[in-house]
Amino acid sequence: MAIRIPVPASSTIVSRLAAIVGPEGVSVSDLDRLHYSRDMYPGTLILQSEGVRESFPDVVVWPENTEQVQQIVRFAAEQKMAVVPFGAGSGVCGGTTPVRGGIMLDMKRMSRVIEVNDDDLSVTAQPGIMGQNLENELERRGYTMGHFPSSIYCSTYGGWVATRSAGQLSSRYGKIEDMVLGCEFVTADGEIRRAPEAPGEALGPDWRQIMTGSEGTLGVLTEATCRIWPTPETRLFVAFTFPDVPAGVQAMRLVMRHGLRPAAMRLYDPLDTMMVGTKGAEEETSGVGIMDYVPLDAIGTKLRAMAPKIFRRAQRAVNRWADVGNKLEGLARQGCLMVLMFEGSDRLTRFEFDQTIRFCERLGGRNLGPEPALKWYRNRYHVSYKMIKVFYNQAFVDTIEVACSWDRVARLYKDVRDAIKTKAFIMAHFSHAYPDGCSIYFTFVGSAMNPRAAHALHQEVWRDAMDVTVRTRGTISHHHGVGLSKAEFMPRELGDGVKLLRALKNAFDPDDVMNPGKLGL
Amino acid sequence: MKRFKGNIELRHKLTDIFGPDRVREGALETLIYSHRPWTRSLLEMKAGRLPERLSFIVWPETVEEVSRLLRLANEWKVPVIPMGTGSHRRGAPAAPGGIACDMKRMKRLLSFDEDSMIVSAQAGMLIWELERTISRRGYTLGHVPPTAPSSTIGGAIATRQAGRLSARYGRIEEMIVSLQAVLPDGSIVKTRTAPRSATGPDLDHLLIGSEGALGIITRAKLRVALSPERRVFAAHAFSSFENGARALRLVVRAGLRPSGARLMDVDETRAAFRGTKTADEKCVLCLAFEGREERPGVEEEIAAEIGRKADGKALGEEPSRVTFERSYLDGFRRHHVLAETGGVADVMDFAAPWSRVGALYGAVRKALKDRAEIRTVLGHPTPNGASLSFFVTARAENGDATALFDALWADAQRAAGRGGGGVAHHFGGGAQYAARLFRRERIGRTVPAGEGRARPERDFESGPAERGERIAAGREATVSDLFTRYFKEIDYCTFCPKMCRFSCPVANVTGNETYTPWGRQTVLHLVREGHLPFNREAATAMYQCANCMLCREYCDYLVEVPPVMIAARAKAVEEKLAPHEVIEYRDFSRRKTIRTATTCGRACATWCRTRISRRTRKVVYFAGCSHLYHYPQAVQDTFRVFEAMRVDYVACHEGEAMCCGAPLRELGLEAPYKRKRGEARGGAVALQGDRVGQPAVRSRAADDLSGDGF
Repeated sequence: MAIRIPVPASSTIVSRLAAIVGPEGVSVSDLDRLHYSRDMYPGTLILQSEGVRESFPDVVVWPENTEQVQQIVRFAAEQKMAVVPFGAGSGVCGGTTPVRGGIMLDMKRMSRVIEVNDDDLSVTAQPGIMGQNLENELERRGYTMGHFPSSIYCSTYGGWVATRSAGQLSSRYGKIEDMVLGCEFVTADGEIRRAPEAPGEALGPDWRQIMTGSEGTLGVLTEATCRIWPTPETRLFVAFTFPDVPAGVQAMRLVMRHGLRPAAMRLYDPLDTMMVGTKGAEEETSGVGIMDYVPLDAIGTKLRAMAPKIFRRAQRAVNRWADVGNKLEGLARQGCLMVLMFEGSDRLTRFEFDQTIRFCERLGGRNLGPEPALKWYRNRYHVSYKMIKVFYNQAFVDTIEVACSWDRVARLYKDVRDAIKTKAFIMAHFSHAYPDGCSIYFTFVGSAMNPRAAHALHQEVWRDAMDVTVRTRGTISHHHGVGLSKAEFMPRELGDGVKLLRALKNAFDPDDVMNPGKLGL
Repeated sequence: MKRFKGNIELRHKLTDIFGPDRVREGALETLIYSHRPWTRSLLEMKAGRLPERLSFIVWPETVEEVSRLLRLANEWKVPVIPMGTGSHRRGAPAAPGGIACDMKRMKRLLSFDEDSMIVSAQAGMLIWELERTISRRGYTLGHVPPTAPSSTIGGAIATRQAGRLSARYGRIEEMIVSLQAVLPDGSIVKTRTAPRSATGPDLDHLLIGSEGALGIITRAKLRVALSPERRVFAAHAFSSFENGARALRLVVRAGLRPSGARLMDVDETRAAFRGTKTADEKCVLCLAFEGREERPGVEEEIAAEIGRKADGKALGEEPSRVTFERSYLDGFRRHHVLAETGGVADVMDFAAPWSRVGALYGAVRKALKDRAEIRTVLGHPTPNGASLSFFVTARAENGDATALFDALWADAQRAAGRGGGGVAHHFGGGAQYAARLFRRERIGRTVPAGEGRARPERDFESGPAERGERIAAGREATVSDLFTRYFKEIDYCTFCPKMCRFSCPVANVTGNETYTPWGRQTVLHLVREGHLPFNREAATAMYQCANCMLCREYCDYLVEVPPVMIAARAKAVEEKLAPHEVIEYRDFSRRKTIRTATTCGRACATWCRTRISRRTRKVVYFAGCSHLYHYPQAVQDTFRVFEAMRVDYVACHEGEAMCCGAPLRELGLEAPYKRKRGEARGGAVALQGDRVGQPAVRSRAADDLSGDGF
């Protein structure tokens, strides 16, 4: 089925936009618009092979400075055209889906590092710079931002701020909202606004916290200042196994409660432990590597190429992820792996490291030495790659990152698992710990006889998981954001808080120009 | 603005919601609630300009009542001012004719989840009350604003307070897990409770710092931390403010989190350490670290290393200990100046990134130094910046202190803007913030950290810290002395941001600002200055004091409010304004039959009577009438203890001869009291032996009868 791409924006609009950003900065080509029609939302990926694409932008624009953004937004407001700010499109929630068409505002031409300030330990950069580029730039000068989402290669600085991103080392460096010292953005009324840069402002509401996570619904981020740190002197690794999930969770809780700040602390549930393996980095095969499991792959690529449809159907027929999961569950006997990493200034880091080891050992953790943690560190961005293989093999994989306070962590883990495990293979790890709670990161793999059914199953899994989470009073998203896919759950997530959100939207963007349909707005 | 004062229909509607007891519209209370202990409003008052009054005060007890209030207010288009303790030093917006919604009756601790270290409390709870409760279980909130004893949770959040320990525990907004609030339209909102969430903007931040303009906060869930096990102090001297600032910057840059960090400039060093060797140093950086096990020690050693490398001179721990143990005297100094000289004193806070701290320091000082004395402290460090507090004192040459105050502030702000201070950058239109720029105040005492201590500590470790001069003028003053002898007491309390408020039982039970020591003394101040008549309402307020003297315990000047109240009550009796209960008591006390038959159990009376016959014993025991009346069993138990210990004792019963007359005196009934005292004298002198007894009676006897051989 061919994808039907709707008619682009009229030539008048294009010429008006070209007058702002120059002819090079505007495109209405079908291909461009096709590529801006989705992000990494698995729900769309499942239907990829069916050729289903629902929404397209009318025009793609690449501004080069704040003033151009301002003029574009003013123009859009005048035309009542939607504006969808776009970073690198790596989101997994459909946050950049142009549900009402309009202008796709790609920020990646605004990618300068404006200033690295040594006194203030801050970096000021434009939003379009890719995460890893920014980190490289900082590393070159002897700093780190400490923000390492697994999407660091494929996400932008601005995207981090807009979606309330959290990196893998958040326990030590904080999440993006802890890092943002100041920002500049253009709101729907066409004004350039700056949130204060001085630390600890007490002047009314903190607009940085309102803009961080607004997912482009209130304005376009055009510049942000974030805190940075000197490159750490020391980096220390250790891993433990705990007999079960509650024991491991208990250890995490105690470490955080005593004010220790591991750079990373991740606890894998028995199934996930089995997948990653508890051996060191040299033995890459130590884990089961279920994501690498390819049914019928032995038959070879030739057959696949010859009769792709039949092959796919056959693959779907043998994909039995839920059953695999349930079988493996009984076999998972290695306990729960916890990997720990510390970094920072030499003496303090070592002090905290030793104290943490004492805590873990006291709580029944078996010390495995640094190897498994090193292995995690080397492979820390790999999860994003594994996704490809699963989709390639006609299954789907998605992740659900919820969070709640410690008193409910065990229950939330069990309830979500119980709700999903008959429908898909599900495993989890606990990470991003805080003194008051932690995040649970579920990975589920599923499949169905055809993409439509798979899509339906995917939706069903999400609905069930979200339902359980809301009932357990967890948050439905710890760090992926809301976008389009979780929009329907927002009223339950926020309760009457939706009113506040709606009021904000009305104040900044009464005509609903900015990224419509997101955040449940 | 429309006035709603005396509006019967509105009063009825409010009474429907709150009942008759929780709606007030008296002139006195509305005036007290309209006044704020911030410098400008004090200056205004000194100049005889009273604030415009509110129409009503209400005390909600549930979130539903708040919601109904706001719906009603919407219907009537009457402004509502949410209030905690009103200790805010920068002045909440005045709303003449509006309704003050006093949150202090919503003061319950709702839950404490020790696993997750989350405490949930109603907005009207005092921060120190919360701290006290959780410290018994080994936790601390770590929030010590300058007005710590008198800040409510809701107030701290609504004004986005930064506590003294912010470098370690964070500012108040970093402690918030979730909030419950009533929006202006009356709808009740709860924000999400997860430790962190990526579902859109953090809506808590719409309410934090909104000063009630966007809703009334009714409940908060807050993160707490484990109580520290130990504290370590260190002080370093630097040759210049810049060098000191650099050292402090390196300390936080290294990932250290000092619980206390104060860099003083030359002027502040001289003032703060006056009379010690340290005063000769140029700039002193005081650091404190706290935590568990060896951690504070390790952090301190790292900091010491940094200090050494930055050319600092180690001064040992003493200057730092003194600095952080020092109470709120800093805050009081300005009041002192105000009260004494009619000048101007205030603290101006500006935050800046480190790269602009030096410029800010120079700019503000340059702008003000011709007209004012300025001392500066750098504090609240983060790896990215810090804040400067300028303690500014000046004398109004032409007598117009308010104009001087405004001019100083305006110039300081302009200079701070040039120097790159926080006020230079703000979001959106400037005008809306201009009036609100005066905010944070961050001097104060360090958090009570011990576990299970009975009351908020005055300092880190030791007992009562050194206090300021004692100004208590004594306990016996007559009506004529009220405004002369107690002049200073009245003024000091009037200018105080209610530091003792949390301890006052009457204030806590009523939740009424008029009935705080501050409120009552302010009434007297206004009466004295001729701004307010001493009428029945004012007189009644003078009786809203239990004479417990707790306020004195939390006053650095040991101001004793009860004697002032007693003198004021005497004034009330003299002017025939005393409440009818007082007159009833006077008549009651005149009746001869009241003694044993009605106030004391018969059995107890027998006990007493048999033992008073012998006049010479080793121990004379004064039981006290309230003990005999309320706890006769306790008195009898005391006798049993004496007997078991074979103590040769005699008990004085509360018969006519031994009534000390204290209740009469405390009610302001001077004449009957003097009569009673005369009668007591004869009986007391006749008794020989060591005197023991109920503390109140003993102290009363010692005070009142000291001239009679006691």
